Amino acid sequence: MEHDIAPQRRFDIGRILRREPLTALAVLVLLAICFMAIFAPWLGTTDPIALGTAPRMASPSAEHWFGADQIGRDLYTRVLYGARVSLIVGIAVSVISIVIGLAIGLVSGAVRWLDGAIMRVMDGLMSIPSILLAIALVAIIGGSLHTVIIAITIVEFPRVARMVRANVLSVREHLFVEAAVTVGSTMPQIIWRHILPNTVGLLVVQTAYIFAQAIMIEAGLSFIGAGVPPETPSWGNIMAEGRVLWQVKPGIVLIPAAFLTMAVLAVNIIGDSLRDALDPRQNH
Amino acid sequence: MLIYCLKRILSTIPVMIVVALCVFSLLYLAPGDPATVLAGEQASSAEIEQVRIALGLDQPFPLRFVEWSKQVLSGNLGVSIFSGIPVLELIRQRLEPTIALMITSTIISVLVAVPMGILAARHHNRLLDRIVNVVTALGFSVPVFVIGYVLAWIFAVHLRWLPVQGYSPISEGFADFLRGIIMPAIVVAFSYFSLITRVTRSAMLDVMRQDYVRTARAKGISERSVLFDHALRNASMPIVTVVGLGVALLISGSLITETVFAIPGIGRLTADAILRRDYPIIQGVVLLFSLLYVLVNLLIDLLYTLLDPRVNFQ
Repeated sequence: MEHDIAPQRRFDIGRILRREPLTALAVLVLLAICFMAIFAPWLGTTDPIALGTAPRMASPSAEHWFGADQIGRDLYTRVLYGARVSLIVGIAVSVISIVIGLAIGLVSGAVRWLDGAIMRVMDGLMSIPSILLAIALVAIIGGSLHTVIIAITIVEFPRVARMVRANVLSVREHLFVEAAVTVGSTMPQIIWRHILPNTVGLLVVQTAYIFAQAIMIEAGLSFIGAGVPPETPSWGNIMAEGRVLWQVKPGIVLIPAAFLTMAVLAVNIIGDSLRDALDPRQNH
Repeated sequence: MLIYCLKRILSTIPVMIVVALCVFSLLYLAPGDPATVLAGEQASSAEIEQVRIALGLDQPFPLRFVEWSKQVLSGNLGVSIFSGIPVLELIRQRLEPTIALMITSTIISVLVAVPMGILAARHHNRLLDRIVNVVTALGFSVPVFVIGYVLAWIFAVHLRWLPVQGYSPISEGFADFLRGIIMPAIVVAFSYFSLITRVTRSAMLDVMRQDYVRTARAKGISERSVLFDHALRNASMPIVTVVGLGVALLISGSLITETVFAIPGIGRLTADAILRRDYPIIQGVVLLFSLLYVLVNLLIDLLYTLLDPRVNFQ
């Protein structure tokens, strides 16, 4: 029986997918969207930016699956390329936020005299409603893929830093850390051997949530005109352009909306099941 | 307790200073020199020079920040580059629809979410609980503007029950106001509602495992009284806290939803300001809404301190 309660919980992806069909579906959806994004040029698409590749306002047809927008761009093409923008933003923001948040959280949790100041700055950043901070940053620096990524990262990393810090503080209280101190381990050693392994699970789950959040914020920013440049095909931009005519041509708004929702939902479901898998105690 | 309240009030000051510093620094992130940015795109070099002197750009950064903070504290948020109207005045003109939207959403969210969370906790792991879980998962994952278009498509374009867009002020009749605001308010409420429901549910589940709830049941108290007098009262702390924290969702949601429904509020003001690169408006909106967020949470904390005899004043 003893190996059952080993502290290192094995994490079997195959078992999770068999037990949770919803998660399996979410993984499939996410993979499909990744496939779309990567192979967009070879999936029967035209030029996503050039005008007049389709008749203006064309209805969905065999040739133009999702129809076309008011300046004659094939919607199917633009939605596929839009997946690229969302995924790039999602990946970049989650990776950078986790790295920065981890570094700041560790420093804050380990170095007592810096803790107060760092946390006040994090509190301040978190007091600005996320979309508003991102809007301000993009509007002022100027809209590009880089600035959108930077802006959303600034919104997301303080939460990671706070969580990592809280985790450091709670792990520090454990007997094994005290034991490590007693046998003469230095702080960097303790962080590396004890605190970091105990933080990885938390970070994996957060990566998923930040990914989902980043996709949503990017679309929101583009939608209100503070995102990637308007000619870039991103789901938020396509919806923003479709806004004027959406009562006549709801597809231009609703199709990218459906893709956006599926992507966010899939990533959130994956995040939830990662959370449950890594922390079975929390069953609600 | 008075000391605790004072401490809590004072603790918002460093937070607001950081917020102010962020907002102030924003201008210096803009490409090019702030004077050129503030003078607008068509400004002559003389005008730029004027703005430069007015901004005190020859002064060191900390000094400029202090000077700017004094202005802000005295109610001067600068003037719009585009219209030359003071930012505070522009915000005041557009405040009503946004605040109305936020308040209506809050009422809808809290009124639906708390009973829903209690029901879900009572029917833990049964059908109703599952349904609530799915609905709240959607609430976290469907972006506000997507919900907005889907609802508008169903209820305004197809069923024609409600106006597609627009806002009718309360002063022009409550019925029209309600018809206009109800759909945007539900849209904004969706994520806020999901957050409150989830927290209510898990707080209730935690409390219902406690010994005093078992004791209450053992005493033969009606289930109703157990739920409301014993469980809900003790679960109220996380619920009330999350109502405050969720105000951030409410603010972000309102700003975007206004664009969907063409509501002439702060969200439209901001969107227009983005198009015109009207930085003082953006700064002013960020500053005021962050202040609102911090103050709402302060108020909730203080209120809770007064209402709950168990709060520890350390």
